[in-house]
Amino acid sequence: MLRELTLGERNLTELASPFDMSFPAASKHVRVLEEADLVRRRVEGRSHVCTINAEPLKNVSDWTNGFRRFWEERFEALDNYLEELQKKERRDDA
Amino acid sequence: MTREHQTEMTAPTDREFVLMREFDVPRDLLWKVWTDPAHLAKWWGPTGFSTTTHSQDLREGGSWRFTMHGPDGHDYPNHIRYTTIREPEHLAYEHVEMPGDEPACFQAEGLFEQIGDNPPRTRVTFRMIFPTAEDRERIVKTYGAGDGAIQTFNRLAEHVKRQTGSDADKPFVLTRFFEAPRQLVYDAWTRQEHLAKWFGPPVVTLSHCTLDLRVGGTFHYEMKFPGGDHWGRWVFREISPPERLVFTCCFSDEHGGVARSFFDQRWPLEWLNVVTFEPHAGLKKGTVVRLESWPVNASQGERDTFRAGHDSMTQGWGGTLDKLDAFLAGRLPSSAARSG
Repeated sequence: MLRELTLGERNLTELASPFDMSFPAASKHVRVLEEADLVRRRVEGRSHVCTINAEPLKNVSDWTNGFRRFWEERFEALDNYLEELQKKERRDDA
Repeated sequence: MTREHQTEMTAPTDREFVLMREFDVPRDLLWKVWTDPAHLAKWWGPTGFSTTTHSQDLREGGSWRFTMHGPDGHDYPNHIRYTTIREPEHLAYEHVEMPGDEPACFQAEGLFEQIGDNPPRTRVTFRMIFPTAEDRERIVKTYGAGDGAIQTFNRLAEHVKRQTGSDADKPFVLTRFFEAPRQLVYDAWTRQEHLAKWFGPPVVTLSHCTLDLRVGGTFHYEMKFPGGDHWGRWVFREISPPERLVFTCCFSDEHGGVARSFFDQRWPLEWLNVVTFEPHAGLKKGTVVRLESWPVNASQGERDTFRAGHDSMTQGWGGTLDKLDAFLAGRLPSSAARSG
């Protein structure tokens, strides 16, 4: 469902159809996603239009890639720091 | 990981190098990893290198063409011609200098002797012979070939060990080249004033940081993340300047106790980090840092979580969404969860 929503806004019927879900079942699933603040829903006439809220997903991605990401970022910071240190040493020597 | 066998390097004459090492595996396995490009890709070359085979014709007079990719971003095309192939005991080749390649000219041979059956043990003797002493010297100076050869043998040892071990406990490994002398890189990991500068997140420095650098001593820090703060703690197990640091890691609290991960309850309580600092064996002068991590005293579920945490790079965004969707679906009443 979330993957579908990354492609654009979908109404509930569109969201339910690929999963062979009933309308109430889809509505329940969306409610859980709403509670997790991952999906926003607005009512237009008889149609429930859903959009994805990417902000918390960023955290999820941080979480699953956490360990590698963490160390890659630390190594990047170390690289910059060592460069700075050596520049400073050269300036001090000059 | 084990330190039971060491690579010995000698120079019987001024135009030679000889490396010798014992391995606790059968000779056939060593022959295989030494001649099969799929294996060579995983160990051939110094620390931080990878190797791509372009073509291989494994017979006397046949060639192996490959490129070694250095951790400093430099590529080294290579062409060797096999001169002796006597499976599984003797392999010899000459390095062919091609126009446009890095200049390097030498002959090499590997001898594989089975010195024990139960448990299996094999001794490998690898000899490189240069036309003159000056040629050997040039290769040592330009490419750090001496360090490079020992690092290559160490990678070979780790690779054969992985062939016999369980794949499930594959450690997390991250390697990176730093254009800085080894002592300075080591200092950056072992001095509080340095750690405080780079170990923190990009913008904020560590909000708390104490370092007690001795075996059994700790590095205790607080880190600010956009989603919240967390405490971490290292306990040093080995301090070998300027080559190697071994420490356990855990999430912590302000008192320095062990805490569960704030992002995943199934993450192991403690994991071991081995950080090695090696001279870069290539054109650029610098240091290759290699970080290796694996969980300690962890349950199978925690080991799986750890593994998933570092393998997740390959899954990409779609996989993450599917996992999240499935997780949320698990919280639905059963009627709706069916198709989650």
